[in-house]
Amino acid sequence: MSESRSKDKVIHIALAGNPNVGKSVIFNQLTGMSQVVGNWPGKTVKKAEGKCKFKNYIFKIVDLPGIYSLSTYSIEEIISREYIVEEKPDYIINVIDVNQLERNLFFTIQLQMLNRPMILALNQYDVLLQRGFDIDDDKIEELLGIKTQKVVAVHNRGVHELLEKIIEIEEGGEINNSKPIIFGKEIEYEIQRLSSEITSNEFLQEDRYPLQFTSFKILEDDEHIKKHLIESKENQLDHFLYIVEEKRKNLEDFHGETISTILNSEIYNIANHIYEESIIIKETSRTFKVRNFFDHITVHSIFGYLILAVVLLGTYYLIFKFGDMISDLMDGLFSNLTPGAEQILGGEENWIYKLVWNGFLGGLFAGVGGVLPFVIPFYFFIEILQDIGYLPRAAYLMDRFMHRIGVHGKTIIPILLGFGCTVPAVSACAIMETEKQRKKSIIISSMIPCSAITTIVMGLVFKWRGPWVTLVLYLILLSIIIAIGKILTIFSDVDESELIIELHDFRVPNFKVILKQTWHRSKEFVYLALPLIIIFGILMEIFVEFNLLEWVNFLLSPVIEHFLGLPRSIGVFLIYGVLRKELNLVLLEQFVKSLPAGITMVEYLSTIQMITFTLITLLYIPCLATFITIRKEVGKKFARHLLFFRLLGATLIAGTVYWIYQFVSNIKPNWTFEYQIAITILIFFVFLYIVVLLFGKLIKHRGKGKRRRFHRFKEFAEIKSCDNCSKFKK
Amino acid sequence: MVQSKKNLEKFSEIPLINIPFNAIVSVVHIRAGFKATQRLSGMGITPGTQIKVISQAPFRGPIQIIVRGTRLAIGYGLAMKIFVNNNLH
Ligand SMILES: Nc1nc2c(ncn2[C@@H]2O[C@H](COP(=O)(O)OP(=O)(O)O)[C@@H](O)[C@H]2O)c(=O)[nH]1
Ligand SMILES: [Mg+2]
Repeated sequence: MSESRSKDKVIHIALAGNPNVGKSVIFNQLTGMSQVVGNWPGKTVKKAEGKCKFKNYIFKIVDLPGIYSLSTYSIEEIISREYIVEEKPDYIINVIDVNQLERNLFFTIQLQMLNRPMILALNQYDVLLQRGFDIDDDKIEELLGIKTQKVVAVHNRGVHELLEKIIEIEEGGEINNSKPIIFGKEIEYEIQRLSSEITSNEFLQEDRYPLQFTSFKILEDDEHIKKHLIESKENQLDHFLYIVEEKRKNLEDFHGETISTILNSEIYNIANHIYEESIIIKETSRTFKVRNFFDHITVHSIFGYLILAVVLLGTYYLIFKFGDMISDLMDGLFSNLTPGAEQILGGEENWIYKLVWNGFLGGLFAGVGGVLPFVIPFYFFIEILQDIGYLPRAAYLMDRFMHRIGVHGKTIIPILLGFGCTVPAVSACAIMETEKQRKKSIIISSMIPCSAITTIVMGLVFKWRGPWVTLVLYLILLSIIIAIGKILTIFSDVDESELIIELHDFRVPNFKVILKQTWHRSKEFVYLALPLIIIFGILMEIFVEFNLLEWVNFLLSPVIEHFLGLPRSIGVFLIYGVLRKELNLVLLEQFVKSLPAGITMVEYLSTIQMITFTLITLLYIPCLATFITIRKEVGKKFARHLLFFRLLGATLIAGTVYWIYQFVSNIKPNWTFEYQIAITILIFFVFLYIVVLLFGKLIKHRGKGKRRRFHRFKEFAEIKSCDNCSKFKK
Repeated sequence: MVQSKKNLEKFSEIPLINIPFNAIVSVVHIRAGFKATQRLSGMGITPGTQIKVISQAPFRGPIQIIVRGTRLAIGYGLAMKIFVNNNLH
């Protein structure tokens, strides 16, 4: 990469390593507040960049996504790989968790094949000592030929020494000090042969990847490398690829394993060797045994679920209490300030007042008062659960149930978040491995009733109609989520939907790290969502000023009034609800108060109308902040589609419930109301079930072409792998 | 570690899901798709790897295992596709 001409030399660094080893902590320690978080170009993976001035050098640091391997399974893996070979950072700091040395080295060895200067950060050294082990870092340096540094990132120990080591290399003039990786005899032989084949074919030379990596990956049949080679030189390659194919087949036949298994085992052999040579066993300490006990109890078949329930209910309770308190405070502040503002800005009737106060500040307070008090504590709690290592356990316990709706255990994490606020829930979907899984999780977790919705249900349905109707409502919602999940399972890829997750040992929470992470996440939310909430607030005021809302009601009336059987004026509230869902209820209450005396909520909305209204509010749209987050996380197109389907789906579902009820109450007018409702939801469930079945059939028909192609491909693959048994055929 | 095919045929293979808790077994074969195999080997599960099964979540939930010093949870369906030798240590 280019160097700037200023006094201080610029050095580009990439932090790479497995997930959860402490990259982000190191990154934060180094870059402090100077970091920029964005997305990788055209991708939905987060990219964090930052700067750090240290001893006459400016270090520009990129925190690469956490990955286990340099294959092409996930987007993150491809991004990391491409970044290292395309952008050629001056140094890679490979952060590893010394407590899982062997698995981490598996990745280190692959990184080494990419041939960039590298430093090994032996992180979480404190935990290693606690567990009663030690590590011989000189031995690792000797075996791998790269500089190492013991680090305790959370205590900022050894972090800046990493940069010192880089400066040492920089000033010592050694450029690449790492030893070449040497595999077992037979694989090494094949790779050498391929390498010399590549170098002797001049048309193959200009590849971006280092030779050994290319040979290794082409032998592994890596799609990306192959595509790259084929793209550059079309036809001369046939011969070369033929040779590769033959070598691959020989190896596979000999070992009876797929090639990637053989090659990965090969890397693990090296990793295992280094591990055995460098880990020193001492003796287990007390605190570690205590943690061990927690490790067991939290995944216990009975206590595990109990603990899960307690943790969740406790968390929700605290967050609701706290959020409500702050929210009320903000609302109070807003109404207390209103008279003063009226004077300064020129009273109720002045349009400047309306625009600035009601629109701008109203929006600001809606965001700060209604969203942030729930979002920030949620981030905070989730960071704690994350930091102590609890979340993977929830995934383990819930995996079975998640499979029912077409995703695996990890989705429980965004779902749990969704009960508080959908925004962090959507962001948390990034933990899913593949794009498809991520989208599915977003669809599901954005339907979980968030705190705002709970407020509506409690303030409207529960308050006026009691627990049974509330239960009915939640049952309907649950059935819809399951139905949608079922429909999504039809698109499932069996291979992708299996859980593989690391269960880390419990850690003592580190509040400095937790607070920092919470701050970074909240900051992102503030920058992203708050401006839009404010703009929307101003727009709404303009609407009111020009009396456009009447028009809105008029335009919506065919749906609202005739299809859903709701009073016409509800249309406007639904528009406001986009901003913040509680507004639906708040405005509705204000409206009902302004009606002629004697009309209360019960007279204004019948029970079935309340159910349809709440259903619509629940489903019709993710709130503005969520929509923006979805857009940012997975892209405009997906967000737009989701919006469209939510609008359509919500209308159809609420309409269906309404019409079924109409039907029931018309043919059995003398039944009690409870019966009518009960029969209504029964019919609704049956209806939903049929829809899911039909949907399954439909998709299967449409997918047939694809599937057939897939089968043919599979057959082809089988025939190929069974060449010598072809005589048994026919 | 890579072993030749002949070596492996001496053992009869059983799926990981049928292994009693706390037994240590070694992986013989992985019969999952390409992607899943890649993911598994990224997490340290390759033929020859020693695995210790610790527990299983109820109702055919995932199993908890220790591989190369790391604790992993693996979905039931996938654990069915990992075959291990049954001469228990
Ligand atoms: N005890 C201890 N915990 C650490 C250390 N470094 C990181 N952690 C914890 O490891 C977890 C994962 O760190 P993070 O930076 O998010 O990992 P990343 O996924 O690699 O970015 C966090 O909970 C940290 O508090 C360390 O040196 N010692
Ligand atoms: Mg990170």
